[in-house]
Amino acid sequence: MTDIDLEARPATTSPPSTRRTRRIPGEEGTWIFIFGDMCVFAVFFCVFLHARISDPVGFARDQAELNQNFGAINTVLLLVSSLFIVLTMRVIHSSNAVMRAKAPVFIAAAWLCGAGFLVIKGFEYAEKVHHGITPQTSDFFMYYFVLTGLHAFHLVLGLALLVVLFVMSRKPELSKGQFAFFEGGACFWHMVDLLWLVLFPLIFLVR
Amino acid sequence: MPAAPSLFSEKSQRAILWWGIGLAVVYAVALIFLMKMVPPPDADWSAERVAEFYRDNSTSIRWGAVISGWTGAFMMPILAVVAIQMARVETGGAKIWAALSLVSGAVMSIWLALPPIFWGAAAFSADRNPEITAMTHEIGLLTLVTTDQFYVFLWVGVTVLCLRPATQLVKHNPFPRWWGYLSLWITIMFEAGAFAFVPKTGLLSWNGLLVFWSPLSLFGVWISIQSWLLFRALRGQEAEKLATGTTGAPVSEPAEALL
Amino acid sequence: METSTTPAPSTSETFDAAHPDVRTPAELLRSSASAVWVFLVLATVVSWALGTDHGFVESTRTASLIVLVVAFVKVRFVGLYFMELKDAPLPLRALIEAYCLVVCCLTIGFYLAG
Repeated sequence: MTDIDLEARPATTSPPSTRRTRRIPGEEGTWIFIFGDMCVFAVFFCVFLHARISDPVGFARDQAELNQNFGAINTVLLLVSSLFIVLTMRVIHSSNAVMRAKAPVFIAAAWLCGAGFLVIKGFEYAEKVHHGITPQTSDFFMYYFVLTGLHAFHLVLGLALLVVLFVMSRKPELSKGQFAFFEGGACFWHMVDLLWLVLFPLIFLVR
Repeated sequence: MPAAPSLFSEKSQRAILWWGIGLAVVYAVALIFLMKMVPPPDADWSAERVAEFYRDNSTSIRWGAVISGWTGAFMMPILAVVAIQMARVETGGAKIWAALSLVSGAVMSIWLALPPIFWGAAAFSADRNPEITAMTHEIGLLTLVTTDQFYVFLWVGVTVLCLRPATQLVKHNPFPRWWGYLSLWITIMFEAGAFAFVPKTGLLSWNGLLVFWSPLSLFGVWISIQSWLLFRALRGQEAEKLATGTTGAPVSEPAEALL
Repeated sequence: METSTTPAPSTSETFDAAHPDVRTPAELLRSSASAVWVFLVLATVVSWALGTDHGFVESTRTASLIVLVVAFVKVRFVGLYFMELKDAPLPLRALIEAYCLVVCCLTIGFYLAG
């Protein structure tokens, strides 16, 4: 892994054949970050299930207090948000100016879905606290608050990143280095979605 | 006949870096084997049990504190070299990110040196009232794990310089772009430490995965990789100096106009 | 991110292979990623039904196992089609496949142990 040349350099033009060339989306460094995070969460999944072994009855009782519908709506919100980012990546190189101009709109839509996730998470937490449930209530709720809280923290980082991508997407052209960053940012947002795709079943659904 | 180029700076940086690494290794050994803080005692131990731990290990913990007294400031030499190398690649005026890292290194040393002092004090008169020993012990551990922000300043500085396009134009640069992403990730992982004031069991307790194990191992990983990058860059800087035969002035001063 | 001051070459024709030129709204949605997205939403609904007694599987243990496996199938699809790792160099592609497989096996193992 050597330093990435961020400045303009002659772009390797792909051959006109239909065969796809293998390439790294984003920068190499982005993947250190993304897989690092994914591995940490993998450890959390195991730690959570390991804690469940010692108290299956307590975990089942506490899990019944969760609102699965909030979790499901949030999953769909993140999926819609991810779809908008997929669409952004599809139009960012469009030669059609009208399509190209949709990129910032799609990013804004993705941001709103992400913000919606946080609002619902806020309602969910408020409901728990209203019923006197805090991280100190039980092991299950400690894991519930810590894991969903850490995920929400990643989501906040992702929302900040989307603001940067929004600004970048309004530029008429992106340099090769800027595009690599842009693509890496999109992948980070997909990772936030990906982690929730496991956290939701793990905490809310698996009985 | 031209004077031979002086390699005093590069040689000094290498020596100081080894000095810091050596101190770090000794500190780690004392922390693990003499003070027995890896893994640390559970946070939900009773005062009596903590006092017993200190009575049983009184001699070993006090000698651990002695050794930490000689080695606890190991981040100062390491980060002095990091900051000098940051200043080398930080173009465009005041070396503010390098300065921030230097300050971070100086102050984080306090929080690495203080905990062994508290534990040494707890073991110093281990026969006293158990509540007092337990209190001193708690201050020591909480000082160690909750002082994240001093590390964060350093890593944000490193991240900014790594991700700045102009840095990558400097030859023999110890801050490649991927290192910025890794440092940023470690920064985020470190932020969990301060939670240790709240729970006594689980992921966020002072012996938990997020508060103790991940910061401790990532700290070691960061020092190891950054040292390797620095040694590699220093080798290149020396070779370049010898090849071009200049006498001290930085050879690869990048164009200020770039940024 | 700071911007480069040197003029960059147009990237429009650079990434043809991975990012075909999308000119019309119809072309926008016509991709394997869109199909994957529909699958992900349907899978979410099925998982939700299985996990909330609206299910059609009698044993909660079986239902939970299905939910877990579906979750990691979803993760794989997000990795391959949304993060575009399908066309990534083999080590990276292998990393996401291995992640799904290993973490799925680990979670199922820990689940069955409980």
